[in-house]
Amino acid sequence: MNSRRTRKLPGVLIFVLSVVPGLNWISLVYIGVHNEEVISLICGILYGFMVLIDGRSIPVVWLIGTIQYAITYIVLNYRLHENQLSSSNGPLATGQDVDFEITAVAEQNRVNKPKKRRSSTVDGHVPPPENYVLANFIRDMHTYANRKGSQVDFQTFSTKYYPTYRDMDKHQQAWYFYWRSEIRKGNYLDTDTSYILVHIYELLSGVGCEDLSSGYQQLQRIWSVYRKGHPDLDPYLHEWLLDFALYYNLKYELPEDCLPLIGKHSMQADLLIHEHRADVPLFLPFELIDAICEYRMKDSRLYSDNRVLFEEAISQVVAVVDRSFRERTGKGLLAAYGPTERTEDWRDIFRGALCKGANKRLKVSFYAYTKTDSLVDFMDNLVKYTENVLRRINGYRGRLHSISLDSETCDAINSFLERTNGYELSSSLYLGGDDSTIRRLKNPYELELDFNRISKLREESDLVREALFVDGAGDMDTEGTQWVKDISAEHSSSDYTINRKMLASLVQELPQDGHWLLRSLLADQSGKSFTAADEIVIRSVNVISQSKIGRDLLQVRNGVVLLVGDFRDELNYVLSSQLPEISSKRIFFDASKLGQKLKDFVGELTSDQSEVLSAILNEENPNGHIEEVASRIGTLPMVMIDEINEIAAQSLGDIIIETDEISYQVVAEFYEELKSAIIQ
Amino acid sequence: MGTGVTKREADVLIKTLSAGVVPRIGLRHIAVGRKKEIDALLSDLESVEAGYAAFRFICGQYGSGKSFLLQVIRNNAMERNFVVADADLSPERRLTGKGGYGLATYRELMANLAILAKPEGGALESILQRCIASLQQRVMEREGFKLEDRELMVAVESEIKLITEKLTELPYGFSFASVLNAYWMGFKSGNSELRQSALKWLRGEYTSKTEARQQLHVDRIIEDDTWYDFLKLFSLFVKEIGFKGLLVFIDEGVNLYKIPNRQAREKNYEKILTIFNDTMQGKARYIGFFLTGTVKFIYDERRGLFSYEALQSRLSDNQFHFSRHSDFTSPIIKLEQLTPEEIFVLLERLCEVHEVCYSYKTKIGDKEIKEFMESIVSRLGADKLLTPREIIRDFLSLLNEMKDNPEYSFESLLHDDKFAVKSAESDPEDIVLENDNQFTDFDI
Repeated sequence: MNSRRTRKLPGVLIFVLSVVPGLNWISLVYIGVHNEEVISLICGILYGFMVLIDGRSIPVVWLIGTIQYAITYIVLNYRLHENQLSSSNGPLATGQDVDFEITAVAEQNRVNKPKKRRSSTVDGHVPPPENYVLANFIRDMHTYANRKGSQVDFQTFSTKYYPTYRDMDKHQQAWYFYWRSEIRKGNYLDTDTSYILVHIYELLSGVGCEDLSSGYQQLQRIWSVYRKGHPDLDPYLHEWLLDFALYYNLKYELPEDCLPLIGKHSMQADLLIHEHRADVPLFLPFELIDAICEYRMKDSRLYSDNRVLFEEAISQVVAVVDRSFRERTGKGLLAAYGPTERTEDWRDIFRGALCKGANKRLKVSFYAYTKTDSLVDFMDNLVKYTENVLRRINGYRGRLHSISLDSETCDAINSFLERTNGYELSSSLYLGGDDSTIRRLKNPYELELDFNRISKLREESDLVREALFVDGAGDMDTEGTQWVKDISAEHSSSDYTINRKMLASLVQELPQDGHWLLRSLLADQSGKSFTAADEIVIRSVNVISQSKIGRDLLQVRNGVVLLVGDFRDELNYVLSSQLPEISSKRIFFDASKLGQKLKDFVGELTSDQSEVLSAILNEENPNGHIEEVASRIGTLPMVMIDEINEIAAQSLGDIIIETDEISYQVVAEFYEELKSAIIQ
Repeated sequence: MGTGVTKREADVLIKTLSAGVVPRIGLRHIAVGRKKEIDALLSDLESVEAGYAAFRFICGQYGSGKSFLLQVIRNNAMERNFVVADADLSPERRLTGKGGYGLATYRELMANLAILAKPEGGALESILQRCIASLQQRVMEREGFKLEDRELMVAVESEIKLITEKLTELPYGFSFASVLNAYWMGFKSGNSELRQSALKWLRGEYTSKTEARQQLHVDRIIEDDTWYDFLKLFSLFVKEIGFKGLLVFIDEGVNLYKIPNRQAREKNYEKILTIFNDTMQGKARYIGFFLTGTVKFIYDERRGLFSYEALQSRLSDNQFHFSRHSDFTSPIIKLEQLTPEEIFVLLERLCEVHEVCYSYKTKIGDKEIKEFMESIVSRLGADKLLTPREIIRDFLSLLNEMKDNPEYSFESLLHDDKFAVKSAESDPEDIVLENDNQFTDFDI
């Protein structure tokens, strides 16, 4: 981190002080201290002594001091602007894994032009900006960096070169800041190209973005959004994105739909190809293959008639050949034919832009794949051969000649095209020769499977399935803790003998009216006459009894309600001795309207949990109700929800209530069924 | 023998696998082979439940099913009533590093804290509330207090002190007690700011001790180099409140291997060593760590874990015995790529699940599965790079087509354009390898 003090211009107070006789020496001392201006500091102190020792020197000191302050101020102001322009003298390290090195930085007018002109579309038609224009713009850019605009009407704005804030009138500025505020929110309103360029300049300078990487993404986004309506942006952004990546050491990327803009043998192509150096097999997009080749594939009629097929086939053929090449030589195509050393080239960056780094030149070190003769030759032959094969398949007349390709590579291409099209093509046919032999091939990828091993695997997998099955999932651990009561619901297994304890549990869960009905049945062995009011009570008692003892407890036969099974003694005992209080449990769901899984699930819930579930299903804002139930039993709402979810996870295989801390929602899958079963 | 898969499980399995995502439930129905590996990991869970600690590296090539296995154990652990936390390492999330890289991992772990009732994470508050509800109920039962009684607050506060006294010997013990108490006070008094401050502290979101002191009266905050100490304490806490322990699942260990700076990388390996030693030497209890990584991440002697001598000696000697299974006593579980036979059984299982999901009988038998497999191995790069994820996705797509278009034959659908040759995904590890081998002079 730079520990040097930041230089800054003095404020209004010091300015006023600089013209006060007898005190103006203080302003010189101030400016000297804050900006490490030794001469101003020494002079300031000297003038101070003179004033203190002899009051008659005040007019002289005032005159000299004022002039000196003015000169120092102007010089400092100039230096500050210079610093702003060159605040990034070299590429900034962002720590990204990049495919190039910047070995030198220079001003554009101080270095000889490279012999070869780069393949730029932003050429010399745009005159370089004047220094003062750039300085003013950068100063304004920092001033307006965070300005937000409120909604105003659109104003047209157009300049020939270098649109700036100062070129805008106040209405245009108002629109610009409103439009930019919307852009920063992700709302891309339509506007004039000049406005977009001003915003792009800001992003190119790293202004208005969290960091450089996000700035790069914003540039890509803006380009993608506006390029359709503003095609003028294409040549600029195509270059500036690369400049931005180079200048700030970012990984160079290009939106996929912009790949066709890449020129043949361009630095952009080289850097993007380098990104694929690790592909196994090599999978280059068609545009990058085209950038390597001298041969102009896009001029072919086959290409214009079958663009998609052609592009896909070429990419895949390169992958197939790369794979075949690796098997034979242990190296991929790029390693075998590509450059072994980096190339250095100068690049004028941010041409036509007003931003930090404009007017600079970078010496870039990179792997120049598209200018490596061996790779260019190989790719030329490869694509020509592939085109011949495709011509044959698609019934096009004429073949490309002068193809030099080894027979293994031809075989690999033929074999691949056979698999994709169902035909094998003789490798000798398309080296410009005759083309007549086509024959069917048998499946070259027949698998040999060991069915004894498969049978063993089936058994093993069954064992794994059993090992991973957790019975009574979610039961809280009570062994290791003395102080926490197990608050999870008790679970019953369906596979046990019915005993007194289970019946006690059943009776405890019964609602008031169920309890009453049971007592009356125990009192009269012949049963109780069935009335319409008994129907819901019987159903609810049976839901609980299903979950507790795995069977119904009550039935109606010939208009009489009867106890099922021989539990009279046990029930009498339980009712008379073990239960001091009768549960006030209410029934919230009509089990007859539920499927088996939900019936089991509801049966597992306590009365309070059922109430909570019913409240969530039934009430618009159940929070108060849930809190009330939780308070009643001394627990917390979220704990209740968790308990219900745990029971659901065991019986339904997944949670049933989704929560975002504020609201609760029963999962859609069970919502309707449960809601329809609520007893109002 | 029936499949045992329920309709609900089948639905979830088919939907998530079709999207290329590891399902949350029902994984055991498609876990093929891996018996020894799963047995070993389940024995780790038993060790943790018994009060010990566990540390396992799950190592395998790209597409060998590391994440799947991790998810199987994570889900199973939740069903066994463990608290689980998982995080994927990334360039921004490491075990330690200047700039809060380690703390970022801790925050991710706490954000993904899950229990059976909250399987998708965000269970921190649930755990705290469960603790407080239990204490509150206990006090109410014992003392006969009602919710509105003022004495209840004091009584619960002293209960919290009682619990945390057991933890005060550990680093963060006192601070944790204060934070837990602050959460309770905030909850009881309806002071959501105080409650949120307590949660913020637990999530490691305080960056200044002064701020934490002002808001919660605690002297310590969770920091980049101490988050692991807090996890050790937290594991004891969750055990105390009725869970079986804390399991930490860390995926994508290869991101440590990719750290370009050697010193930064070794700092992370040192952290692994600390955790490893703690688990082996009994300094940590009721906690298990499961870290996945590629073969290179572990065995590469230039920049993998084996480049760190102390770890190499521990991992290669195979002397730490915390598994009951003699074949899997090593801390490293190596996953081989699925064999064609295993893929065959996997596809067979998928047919069964698909049948349950859509309540029908598929026409696909052994012959068709074999044919499908032959078609996928003919893909570009399939010999090395085709992963079970892609195979499953395509197979399910084929099953769906067959179900929806019974008039078409299996052959015609298999050779439809939809299943035409396409490239397999590239192995991300190769990028690192190629970087090293082919372009050694590449630098930044």
